Amino acid sequence: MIMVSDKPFDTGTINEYAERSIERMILNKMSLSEEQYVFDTASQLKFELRLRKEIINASYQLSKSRMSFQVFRKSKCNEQYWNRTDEGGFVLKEGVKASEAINDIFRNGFKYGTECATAMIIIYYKALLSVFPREVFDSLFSQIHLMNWHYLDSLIQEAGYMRKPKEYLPGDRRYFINPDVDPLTPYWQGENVIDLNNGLYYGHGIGIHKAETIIAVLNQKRKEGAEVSAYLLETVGRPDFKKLEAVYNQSVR
Amino acid sequence: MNHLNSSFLDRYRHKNGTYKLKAVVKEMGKKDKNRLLYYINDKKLSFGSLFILIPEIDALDLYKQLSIRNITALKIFAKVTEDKELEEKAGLDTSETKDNMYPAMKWMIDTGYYDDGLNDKFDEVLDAAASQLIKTYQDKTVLPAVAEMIFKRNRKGRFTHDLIWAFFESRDPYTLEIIARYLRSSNKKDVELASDLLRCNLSEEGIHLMQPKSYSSYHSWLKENFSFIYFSGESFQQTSHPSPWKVDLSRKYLCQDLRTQNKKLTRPLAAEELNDRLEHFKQLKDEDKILLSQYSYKMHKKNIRLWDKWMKYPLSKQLEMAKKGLGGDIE
Repeated sequence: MIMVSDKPFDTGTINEYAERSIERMILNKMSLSEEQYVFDTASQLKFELRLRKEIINASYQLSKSRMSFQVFRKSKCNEQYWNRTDEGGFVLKEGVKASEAINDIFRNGFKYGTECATAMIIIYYKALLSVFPREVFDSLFSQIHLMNWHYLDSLIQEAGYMRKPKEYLPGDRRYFINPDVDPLTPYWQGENVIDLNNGLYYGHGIGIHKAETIIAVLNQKRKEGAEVSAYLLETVGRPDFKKLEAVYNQSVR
Repeated sequence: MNHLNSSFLDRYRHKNGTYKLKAVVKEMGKKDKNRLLYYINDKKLSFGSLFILIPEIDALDLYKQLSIRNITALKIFAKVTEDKELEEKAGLDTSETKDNMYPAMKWMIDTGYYDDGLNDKFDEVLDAAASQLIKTYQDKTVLPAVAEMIFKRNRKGRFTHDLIWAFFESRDPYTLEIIARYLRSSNKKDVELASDLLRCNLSEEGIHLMQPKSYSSYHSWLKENFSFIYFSGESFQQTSHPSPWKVDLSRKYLCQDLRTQNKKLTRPLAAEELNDRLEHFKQLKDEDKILLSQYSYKMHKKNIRLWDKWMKYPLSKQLEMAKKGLGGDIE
């Protein structure tokens, strides 16, 4: 159920989304859910729909970017835009515009190589870049550190927390865990993915697949004599859409 | 490293530096190869020194005369760093060295952690050895050394991601005690990291956090919860604030020890009544679960007779009593 301004929201009143659009699918899921999705305004709801759609778009774009899978120790980046840290993360170079640096990952993907967690964070930035005006994006994210979930900008830090929702929505971050991973390949301990809708997930290093395929790939990376299969966790990571919408409203005024 | 018990080559390196060590080894290799081999194959030699001397070993083609421990260590190094040339030169087939893997890896960590940071490849091999020892061989004795490497690297902003994962993969609550010691460190970065690693999500939603404030407060918390914590498998690859260990609030509420990885009870549930109670408990809000489990635990510890009586009350009454305060009237 969707509540906007303390009233049940009729999704039919939003005519701007095509019948089979991702926004319409999310709206339908929300309205049919037992969970109450509460929004202060209709624009808050629309912002979440838009950002979720852009998260999915960015996932498809990153999957085609030719960015390779590399462990943090061997990660690589275009040093025109990023400084590689001793830990294998990428820090935005001083004087470089965040928008140009993020776009470069998608333009010159072959110059980049990293693990799946970093890919998720890149997706969030790209999605935000599609929503926020370029100048606003550059001023909001003048210091970007791409690596694991330990180094998140305060504006997207909530995406790093995993919580158990009542409903899974397209654009959610999910995690396939691989408890019996081969200790020599710890980077296959799990796979961060974006829910692309229709049972498809994007995970960097594996690609766009159904859950069964991702599990099968992870199971091949287990230790000798492994007994426990990889599986999809029930938790999700979501940015704070309302907080981002408030920042958006403030900045584009 | 205790220099009194170290090998000749280690003592020489620590006194004169790596450059002079390499020069003296090169010289000795020309004049007295047997003596050099005696020093390299010394049981007390550290992995760091062997690693440093790989180019000299190669130049003098000493592979075939190296001890099993040394040649196995080089094989492991070659495999992890994907150095095909070294793997070939080291010669032995993997099956021949398999039985020697564990002692070699153990030696690599026991003597190598002092030199952690020599270079990226060395650290990568230490990570792999630690990971294998902990996850495959379930060796808990290396945990303090691995913790030391984690904190040392963290102080210098170096790569800790895989090592932290390997450390907690021991799935032993002893890891928490080891990390807790760093809460007493005079180094601010140690305290911050220890606090991060010991943080515990008490609820499914992750909104009730236990963040250690000091060693003594954490120690008390751990003492109270030790019997009820279980390994969750969370890591920095998955979340910003992993809780590798979580508290099973249901078991704490029922005061039932939980000392296995897979949440099996060490003693069976006493009665069907308790099963029903457990089901109802699981429906409660997280803050109520936390409050009730704490109240139950404290009462059980204080007076088991009263606890038995209290457990017979309906949940609503128990909650009402718990809300009055942990030290409230329980008669």
